[in-house]
This record gives sequence, C-alpha cells and structure tokens, in this order.
Amino acid sequence: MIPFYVFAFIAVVASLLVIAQRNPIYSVLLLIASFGALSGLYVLLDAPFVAVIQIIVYAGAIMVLFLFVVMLLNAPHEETEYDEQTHPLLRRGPMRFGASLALALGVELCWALARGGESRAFAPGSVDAVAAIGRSLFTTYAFPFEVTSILILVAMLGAVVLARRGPFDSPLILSAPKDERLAQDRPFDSPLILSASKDERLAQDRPFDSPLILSASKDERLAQDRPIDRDGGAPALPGER
Amino acid sequence: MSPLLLAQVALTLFVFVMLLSSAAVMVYVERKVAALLQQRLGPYLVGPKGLLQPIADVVKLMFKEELRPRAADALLFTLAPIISATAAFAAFAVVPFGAETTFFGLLDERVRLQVADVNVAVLVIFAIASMSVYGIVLAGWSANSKYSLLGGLRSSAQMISYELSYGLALATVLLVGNSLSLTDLVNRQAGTWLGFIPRWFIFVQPLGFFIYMTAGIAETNRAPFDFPEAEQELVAGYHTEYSSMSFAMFFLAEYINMVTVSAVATDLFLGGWHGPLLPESLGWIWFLIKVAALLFFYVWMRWTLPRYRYDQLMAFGWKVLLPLAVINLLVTAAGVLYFGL
Repeated sequence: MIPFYVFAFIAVVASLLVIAQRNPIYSVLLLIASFGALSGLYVLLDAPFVAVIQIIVYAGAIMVLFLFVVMLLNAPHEETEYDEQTHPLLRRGPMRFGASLALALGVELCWALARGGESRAFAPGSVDAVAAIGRSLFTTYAFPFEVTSILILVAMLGAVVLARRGPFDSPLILSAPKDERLAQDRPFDSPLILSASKDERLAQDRPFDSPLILSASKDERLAQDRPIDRDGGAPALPGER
Repeated sequence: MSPLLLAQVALTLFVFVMLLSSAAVMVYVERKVAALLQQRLGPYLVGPKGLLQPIADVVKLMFKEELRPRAADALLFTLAPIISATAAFAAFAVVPFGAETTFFGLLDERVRLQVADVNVAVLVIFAIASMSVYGIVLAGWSANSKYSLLGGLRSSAQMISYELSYGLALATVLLVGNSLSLTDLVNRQAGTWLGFIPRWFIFVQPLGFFIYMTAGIAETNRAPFDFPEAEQELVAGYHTEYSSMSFAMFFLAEYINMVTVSAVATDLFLGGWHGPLLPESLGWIWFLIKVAALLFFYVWMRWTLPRYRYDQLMAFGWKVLLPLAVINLLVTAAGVLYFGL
C-alpha cells in the first residue's frame, strides 16, 4: 500500500505544480514527473506493458515535443500590470475556464465511479496481455483507434495554424515598425528572455537581424555588408565615394 | 536477510560497479585504440602501459572547479547531468548477461544474472533511451548559452529521429523471437543450424542488426554522428558550460550508454551468452567477449569515419534508415505470419 501512496502523492502534487508554475519549462518537466508516477501506479496494478507504453509515448515522445515547442516558440510573457501582480491561477478568465473544466472532470469522475462494475481486464503481467491488447486494438476497437489518430492529426494542424503568425509572415515583418519586428521574431534566444530586461534583450541578441539591414539607409547597409558593393575592386567606405 | 535477497543485492552492486569501471576502461581503450589507428603511442606514463590514466583523469576532474554561468537556470543545470547518468545506469538494469546460476552451489535456488527480470525488458530499454534525451535537452537549455542550446537541440532532434529506426529494429527482433523478455529472446538463440551456424538473430535479421547498430551509434551521439559535441562548430555542444564532475557525468553517461547498446545488441542479435566451447555456466565470458568486440567496433568507427553534415544525418535517418526499418518490419511480419520463421 505504501508504494501506491508514494506514487499517488507524486502524481497529484506534480500535476498541481504543473499549473502553478510560471515558467512553462518547469510545467513540462513536472508533467513528466507526473506521468512517471502514473507509470509506477500501472506497475503496481500489474500492467507493466501499459506502464512502459506510458513512459515511451507520453513521457518520452509527446513531452519531448512539448519541450521543443516551449523552448522554440518562446511563449510570450504577459506584461500588463494586472498579470504581473496576480498569480496566473487567480486571474478572472483562467479562473472561470479552469473552474468549468474542474467541474466537468469532477462530474465525469463521479459518473465513472458510480458506474463501477466489473472491469474487463486482461490477464495481468504476461506477454499474452500484449497480444490481447494488440488484437482488440485492431479488431474490436479499430474504429475508435483510427478516429483517435484523426483527432491527433487535427490537433497537429491546429497547432501549426496557431503557431504561424498570419499567412505571409516574412514580408509583414519587413514593413512593420522597428520595435514590433524586434519583439516578433527571435527564435533562438529563449533562455536570455527569461533573465534579461526587455531593453537589454533587444540590444543584446538578434541572431537573425537581416530584416534590420534591409530597412536601414543605403549607406548604412553598404557599411555593414560590403561584399555586395560592386562599384570598384576594393570595398569603398561610404564616405569615400 | 535471505541468501537469495543478498545475492540479488550483491548482483545489483556488482553491475553498478562494473558499469562504472567499464566507463573507465572505455576511456583508456578509446585513447589507446585511437593512438593505434593514428600510429601514436597514446597514454603510457601513468602506471604500466598507461593503465592508470583513467584514474588520473577522474582525479583531475574532481579537483577542478565546479562552474555555473550566472545566467543559467540553477536547478535544471544541476539536474541535467544527473538525469543523463541515471538514465544510462537504469537502462542496464533489465539486460541479462548470463544464464541462470547458483553461484557454484552457494545458493539453493537458481538466480538470473540480471538486476531486474522484467517481462517487457525490450520496451523498458526503449523507454529509458527516450528519457535520456531530457538530460541533454535540459543541459543545453539551462546553461543559457548559444553553443549549449544548439548542441542540445541538435542532439534531441537526432535522438528523436533515430529512436524511430531503433524502435523498429527492436520490434523486428521481437517478431522473430515472439517475446518481449530479453532472457526469452536470448534462449531462443541457443543451438545451431546445420551443426555449425549458431542460431543467432543476426543471421535472420542482418538488416535489423545494421539498422540497430546505426541507430544505436546515433542515439549515443558517437562519431560519425557526434553532432551534439561537434567541436569545430559548437565548441563542445550541450556540455559547453559544464566543468568538473558534472561534465564527467555526461561522459560517464555516454560510455555507459555505449556499453548498454552493445550489451542489448549482444542479447538481441549475437546470441547473448550462448557460444561454443564454454559450458552454460560460464556463458558470461562469451557475453563479455561479444560486448567487447562491439565496443571496439564503436571506437574503430569513431576514428575511421569523418563526421557527416547535419542535413546528411537527418536525410539519412528519415529517408534511408526509417524506410528500410519499416520495410524490414513488414517483410519480417509477413515472413512470421505466412512461413512461421
């Protein structure tokens, strides 16, 4: 019984901490910890196959992608005063949304528990269980299985659409005012953003600053990037011409 | 404490110590073999034939200052090498390395030479391999340095890409052996065909072995796929900002991962502890020989092949290795289904 409580405690606490974190990276890691604890619970239920699949699919594959997305997309930080002073959990919008979700989950849990009944479990802990899972997945549950995969595809498309900022992003960037441009498109400097103040960040780190070059005056450009200059053999400084 | 439990604890400790020392041995072998291939002498001053060189290396690392960049994320920066090393050790727990034994009659019951006998061992190895990505990603991210981040991203992209082929190669062996337990799979490779060809799965699955070893080299970030630490481009990759023992832990993890990949390859494709001449109880000697041969192959590859370009690595993984693995899986599945291989 003690292992059950240990795993259950880790799972619950880690899940709670997931939504209490400000740094999305920590949220992702805590979710992994929670999945690990769930996997431990599966082992206690004598279902090692499900436990390992939980680790491979959720903790391994899916969360690595989450981590990538969080690291690369660099989720914007809310900077209004209200957001700064109020903990994310205590804000109005998230409160209502979270409350309705929690309510739905609670109702579902009660319904599932009240329903009870015999669980049609596979013979635990044998390789036959793996074969049985596979067989029922591709015969009895073939339709739900395929529908789930389409659901995942839809979610992927949704993520791609959400992540893109408008259909033709790069031309827009060139015409936008300078500050916007700077704020918009800096894929690689996520760790810096977390530490430095905004101005410092802008000054510090623009690995892809070609848009800036395009918008600068011609002389500046020439000074910056002289190989383009085809006027003479030796690269000329702007003042010399 | 019952003698059986005592034996189990002793076995676990033994495996732990052996893995630690295997890393030390590999450091020495790596340098000596490299020297051999490049017609140099290699380490020869510390101890006889330079045998104590790894110890000198470790002592040196221990006395170095533990540095951490001020802008780094302190918690994750500390955690990353621990995750790497833990995952490396954990994977070996399910690898059997010898037949059941009573330790020369010391025990009443027979004990498997293995830390944990899990009946889904192959999947456990795959799961832990997928967890070890986190150590490297977090090391790259938390250091708050360009080189680290690029190294970490490269490494994780590489590991995710090659994990697919790795998993499919494992799956084909499962099909042939019809089991998820490594012990079962090894025992199915006992005996010979026609009296002289050992019943190793490498002869049934040569393509599977090739895919497994290639993906294994990529998974362990070894040359010619050592992009995460491509010195010429990234200074040192994901461990650029690490020093002292936390740096050593990444290297420990790398060498132990090599040992694990070789040990699993031995169990899956090379018949594990089965071999001619020696009695079953001394099968672990065969196991050691096979693992050592694979490890030598690893080192040999590193000092023979130049590093590929990153796009070549990705193109090879997705356009060559993965289709090959899928086709191999389909053909094997059809073979098992219709001809009962």
